Amino acid sequence: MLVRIASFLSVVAVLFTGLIFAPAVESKVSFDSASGSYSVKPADLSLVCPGAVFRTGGDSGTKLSQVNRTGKATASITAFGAGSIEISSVAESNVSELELDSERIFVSRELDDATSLTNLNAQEDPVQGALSLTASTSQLVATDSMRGLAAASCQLPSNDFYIVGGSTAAGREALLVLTNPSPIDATADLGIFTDLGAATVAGLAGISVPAGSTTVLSLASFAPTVPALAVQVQSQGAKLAGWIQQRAVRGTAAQGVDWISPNPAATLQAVIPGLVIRGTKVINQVAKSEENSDAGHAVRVFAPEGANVTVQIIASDEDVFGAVFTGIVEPGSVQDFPISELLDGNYSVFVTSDKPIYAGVRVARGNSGGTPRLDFAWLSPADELVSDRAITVPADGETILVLANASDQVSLAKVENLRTGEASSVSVPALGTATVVISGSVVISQGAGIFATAVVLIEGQISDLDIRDPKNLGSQVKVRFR
Amino acid sequence: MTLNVSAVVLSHDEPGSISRVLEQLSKQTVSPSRILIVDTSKMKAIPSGGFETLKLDHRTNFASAIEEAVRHLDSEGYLWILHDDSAPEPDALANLLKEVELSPSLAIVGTKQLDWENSKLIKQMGLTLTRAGKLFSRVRGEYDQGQHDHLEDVMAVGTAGALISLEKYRELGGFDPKAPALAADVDFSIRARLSGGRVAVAPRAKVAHQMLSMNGQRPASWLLGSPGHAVRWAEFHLALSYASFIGFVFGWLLLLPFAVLNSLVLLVRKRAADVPAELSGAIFAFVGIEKILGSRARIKRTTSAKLRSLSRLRATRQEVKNSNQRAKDEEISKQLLDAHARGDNDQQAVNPNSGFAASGAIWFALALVALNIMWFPTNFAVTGSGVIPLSSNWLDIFSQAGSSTQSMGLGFESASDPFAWVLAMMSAPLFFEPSFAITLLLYLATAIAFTGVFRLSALVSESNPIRITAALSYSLWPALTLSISETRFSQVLALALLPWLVHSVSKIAGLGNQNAGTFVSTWSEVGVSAVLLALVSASSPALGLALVLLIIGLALTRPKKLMALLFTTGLTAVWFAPLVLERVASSQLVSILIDPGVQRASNLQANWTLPFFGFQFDSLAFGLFISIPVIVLATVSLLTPRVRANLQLWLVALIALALAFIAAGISFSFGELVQLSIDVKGLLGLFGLALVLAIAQLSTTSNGLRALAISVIAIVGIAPAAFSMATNPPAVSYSDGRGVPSIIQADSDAQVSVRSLRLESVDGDISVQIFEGPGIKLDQLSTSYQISKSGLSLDNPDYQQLGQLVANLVSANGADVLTPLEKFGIGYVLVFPKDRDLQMALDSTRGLESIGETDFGQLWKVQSVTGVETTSSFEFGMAKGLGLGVLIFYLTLALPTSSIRKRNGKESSIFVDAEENN
Repeated sequence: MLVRIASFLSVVAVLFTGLIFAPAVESKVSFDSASGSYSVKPADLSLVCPGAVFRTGGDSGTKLSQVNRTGKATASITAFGAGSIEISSVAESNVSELELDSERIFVSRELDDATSLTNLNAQEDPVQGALSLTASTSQLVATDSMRGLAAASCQLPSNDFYIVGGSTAAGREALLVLTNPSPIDATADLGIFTDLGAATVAGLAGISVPAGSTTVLSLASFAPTVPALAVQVQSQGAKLAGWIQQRAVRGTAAQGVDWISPNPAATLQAVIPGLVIRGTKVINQVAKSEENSDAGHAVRVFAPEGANVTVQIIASDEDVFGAVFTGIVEPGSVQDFPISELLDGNYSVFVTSDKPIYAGVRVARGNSGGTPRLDFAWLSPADELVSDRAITVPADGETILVLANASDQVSLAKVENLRTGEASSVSVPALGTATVVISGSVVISQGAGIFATAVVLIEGQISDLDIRDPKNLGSQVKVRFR
Repeated sequence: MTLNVSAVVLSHDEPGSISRVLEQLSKQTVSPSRILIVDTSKMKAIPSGGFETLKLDHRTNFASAIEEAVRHLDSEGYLWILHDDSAPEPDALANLLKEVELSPSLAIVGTKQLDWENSKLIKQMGLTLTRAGKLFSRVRGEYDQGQHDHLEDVMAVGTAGALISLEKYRELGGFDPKAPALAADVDFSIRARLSGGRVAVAPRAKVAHQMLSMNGQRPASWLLGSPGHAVRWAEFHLALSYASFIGFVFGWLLLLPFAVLNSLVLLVRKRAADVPAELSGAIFAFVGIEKILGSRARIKRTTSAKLRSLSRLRATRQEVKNSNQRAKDEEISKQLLDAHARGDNDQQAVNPNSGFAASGAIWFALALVALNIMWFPTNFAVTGSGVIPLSSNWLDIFSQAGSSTQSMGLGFESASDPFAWVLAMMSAPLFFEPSFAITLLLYLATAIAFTGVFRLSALVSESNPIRITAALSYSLWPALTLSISETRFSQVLALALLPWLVHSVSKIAGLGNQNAGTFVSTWSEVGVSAVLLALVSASSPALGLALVLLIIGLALTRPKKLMALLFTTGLTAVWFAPLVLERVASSQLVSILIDPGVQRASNLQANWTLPFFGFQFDSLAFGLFISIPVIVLATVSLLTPRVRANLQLWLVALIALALAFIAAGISFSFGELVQLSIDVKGLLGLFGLALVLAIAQLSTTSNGLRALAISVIAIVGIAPAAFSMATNPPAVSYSDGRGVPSIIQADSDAQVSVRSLRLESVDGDISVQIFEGPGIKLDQLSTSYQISKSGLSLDNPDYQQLGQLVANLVSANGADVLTPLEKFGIGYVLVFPKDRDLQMALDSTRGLESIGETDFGQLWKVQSVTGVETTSSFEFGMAKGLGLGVLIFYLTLALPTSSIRKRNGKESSIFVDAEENN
């Protein structure tokens, strides 16, 4: 029995002391990772300009299925770097090429159709961006059914973007223009959001945008009589460039047209410089009637997840107060916040939110020449100028560069004309805005917290140009072999 | 006529028996004219009976001793040779002389050799050779009823009691001093025959022969080894000495391979005891070429006749067959008698209900199957986190076993995992649907383990209830149930087969309640053990290593079973050899322990929770409770009377636990994201198995304690584990085994070779897998690829190009991807799981056609790659050939045969040949 007890105690002792006091063995046998990092050359930088505006209904205006371009848009292009710039009409095989050498080029073209500008055989240095290629188009339209200034920056195609703006209420026409500049077909899926939430109608998915073509869709066919719209476009296959062409007719009078460009990514703070108010008296006069109640300025917010937003409108004139208000946006819905009682002046809009939002600002321009007329522009949020940005503006009229400073420190922005070298510095107050008139092609130096939009005023009409930094990222892709 | 006869008695350290020889010699009715004792003894006081003695050095061999005696005697007439263990009957010489008087052509006359103790039993009457060149005695172990009492010519006679014409002796130059001890007499007789003399046996001349040499009772130096060795050496020597020149050259060159081959045949025929003699005999003959050449020269000098002229004197096939049958009958009778004497059958009589069915254990096994109802296969192939289907063609699975070409990635040269052999073996019975074998094994694993432990527990317990409790405890032991729930097929298989392996090894080593060396053929069990050990080791290398160490340790403590136990590791060694050599060459030996199959991180930590499987309080927590009562009761069992057996079981358990503790701390890092550790559940299974066997020892305690133990385990352990097993839904899916979208499968079915890329975005990186045809199958997975691919991806330009291709594809930067896609023959690109960014990139790539969503991810077809028709190639290299050959050998060894011809040394001596029947 003693042997048994001794055995029992020995085993128990070995087991427990071993488990509790044995040092943990930590031995790591390392092998190299079966992976490699590969440099990926960026895709050629290619911008798409929208071309001339569309007129629906044919000459008579009654043929619903007819959509034609009308007039010509003027494109201003500037480029610098290596290789060449291929200017190609998307729908037609109309290609021209401009060689790039050591000098920056400045080109102006009349465009009928959507046109792609591609920097071929570019070297990696300088890197892609607005400094290497930027362009904008503008078109002053003055027909019975359409009157106003439609200007837009030429756009880098994407697979997924949001456009916030437009209306399909009575007398308003919103055309979604999707251009596929590539040789690959694309299929687009739309998401249409209104003041009542997402529109659930048939036909939103699988919209074909064949290679080298432009597809124009009337948003009224999906969401009729909707005063506030936001559209999401997702494409499979090729990347698309997209705009909403918004047109307003009040009574029998055409009251403005504009290209609405895509938003940048959703954000908690949307900074929208460019609320350049002119002709307030006319605007107020037109907006009096009930059917023109949307003639004035407004901030539009689309909150996919819903949001509590605070809108702050700050004038460039320190003596002008501007406005501040708050609002609630239901999830998935689009909310307009009308802006009234602002005096003529230059303003920037800061929209802050507790949830990511997309936003836009409609700015009206009253033109008192003869019959009171209005034009409008839809502004998209600007990007922070984290890099130097070039922009080229129409030769006609006046272009005001509106700068907004979202930081709490005064920031200095340097604006230099690329052709003449003439430079000026603009001091932008903290959480404030400032303006400078520009012409031709300019480069705006980077600045912390600075956002900018160019507002074009021609013959009493208004439009805007986004200041983006279009680039395809070259990168390092880490590939792991399994 | 009076003939001059000189008797020579060879004395070599046998004072007891020589006294009887000399006494009998002095009683001869016809006395020899001279009697000379030739003494080669080491000891000094050998009785001489007053006869003349010639003292020679103790190292003098038989031929030289006789030669010295003849020279010393310097007489004519006849030489009568007697050994110190051969006592002639009084009329022996008279009868010998009678024969030579009647027939003067007789050169040598042999005697009827009788048993030393029993003069009615004939031990030998002349010698001959079989057609295979083996020594053969026509008459052996028969009672002397006068049935052989007629003079008969024979090929040769033993020298004990032989009367030799001195004239012939001198003519032949005496016995051949170069010949091995047991070849000298046969060689002399054959030379006498070939030179025209007759050799016969005088049946009335009787000699009682103790056969000390053949019984191994003389010092080893006499025969230079065991009797068996001496016989084989003699046979090889004779065969080569009498062969033609060409036969001699080829025979000598092929001698060792022949001996190895013959050894394998002997093993298969469960005659492993004959293997050392076979090998050592061949080696002695091979090395002793100079002796053989000397013998050949002597033969040439004395005769020009050929041995084939004596073919009528060789043993016939029928004689050999009859002799073998007689030997077998004698052996079986002896073993039955021995078994009866030991009381082997008593246990069955006492416990008639110990069988699987009779004990009711079968119902528990069926209950375990029923418990797995949630795992009931609804299709052929099971897919889970630790298992994927096998190739649909069994030949593809077999081609992977022992292969040196791996198909993973872009293909590379490396030894395949031994696990490929396991998959090939396991799926062979269901070759028409190989994946179903995996599915069935996962489903039936607990029942297989239960049955194994039930059988095994018979070695430690006779109580059926406690045997069933022990078997249930193991089959629901978390090592097994966790492995099943994680679908770790390799671990499940190792754990299910483990009890069977332990049972088989225990049989060989004679452990537990059994009679070692009984009627059960040890070598059958060696075959079974070797195959099971290879299967278990290949499935769980860590467990395999522990088992090999334990078996070696066991072998060292059981010298009699040393060879048998060590032999069980043969197949494992052969299967692992290519991989071990490769890993040693690359200084990555420890990577042998990486678990084969689908890689999956193990989450068991090396701390006090290890024997309790980490106590993860998830849905399996109930199933882990069983470890507590089992450990506690196994400790309590140390207080039972069988403390020695229990300590041994605990020693195994603690070794297994310690190894698990160490193994759990070893991790393999393949870059920043892939970390693998050794799955220690196999070792914890061995730990559990030892404990449940310790619990089975509780059968020796009081009924009350036994009932209490069973109740505690059943209520606290088995019931929750069974509940957990039955209620945890398996994370598996059953399918027809297809692993790729139909369009790729269709290409594969049409023998069109096309590769596919599978992309996945992981933390901003792109994970890529390239595979051929119907996707990656379980049999294609290779640990070598796991550890080689880092080198491949860094050094191989093809992988560099592939990586750049993938980077360009996912970036959609417009770079040319079609050229490399065509170069690699990549016809399809799969994205799994669904990834919108990757989808957009691939959608916008020229030359890729989106097929759409499939069950296996988003699919694109490369329009310009159509694939080429392939013909299946089948590699059969040395590793495969050797692995297969050794497997077949062990399987053959494992097959039970009725021809148990294990002979003990006393009865067998020389002269029984089995090969003649083949």
